[in-house]
Amino acid sequence: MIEWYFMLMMVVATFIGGIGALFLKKGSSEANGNLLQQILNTKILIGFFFYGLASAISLVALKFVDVSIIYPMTSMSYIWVAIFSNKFLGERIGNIKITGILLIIVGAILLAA
Amino acid sequence: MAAKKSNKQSGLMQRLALPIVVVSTLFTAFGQYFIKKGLNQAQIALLPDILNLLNSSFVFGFALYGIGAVLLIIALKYKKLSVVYPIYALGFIWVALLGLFLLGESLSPTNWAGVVVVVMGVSLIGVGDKHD
Repeated sequence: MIEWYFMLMMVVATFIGGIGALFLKKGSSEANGNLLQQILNTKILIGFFFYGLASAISLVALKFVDVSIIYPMTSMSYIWVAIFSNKFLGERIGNIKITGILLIIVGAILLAA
Repeated sequence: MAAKKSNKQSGLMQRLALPIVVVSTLFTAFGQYFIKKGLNQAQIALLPDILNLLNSSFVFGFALYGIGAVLLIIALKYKKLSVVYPIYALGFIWVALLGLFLLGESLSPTNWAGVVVVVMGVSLIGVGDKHD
């Protein structure tokens, strides 16, 4: 039986990953100057840090739960990013994108089986 | 004159951005593969063994990962996050194919169905980009 706290770990991990993606987007939009300055601005570094943290948590969860469960749970990050992009970046998430995300989640479940 | 040129450039980048993301997902997937390979090769027992990580697979993997990251940042300048991010689902497919061709893993019909469904989903995201 999968312990509920590993499920919660994945929810938290994907949430953090989504926040990281948000920072990456914010950082990339605001960056100017030469390429190196653009890659290394603060928001982008924070974004990668959160992404790394999310990956680390997922790797820990993988030690306890089978990949056929973890894999589809990582696709929860697409839901988080859709919510965050809508709320914080003002991006419109139409039915086409929502269907796309649902298909991706289904696809991930099938791939992990 | 300068404004005209930069409009043309950013118009080109608009069209290149999503293909760049696809390429980025490839770099990321291969990067993860080599990092894992390097970690397995390093066999760290004691702290000094961390130097073993400087073997070529691990460093190469990190370099690939870095290139993938740079491409992601570039693409994010031109496209919405809600479009760019889901395209990384292609990583699921690359990892499966890498397992198939490099690690001798097999893919069941269900897995292949998953590949098709993920491609469909990512394509819809691309369509949704133009639509929203």
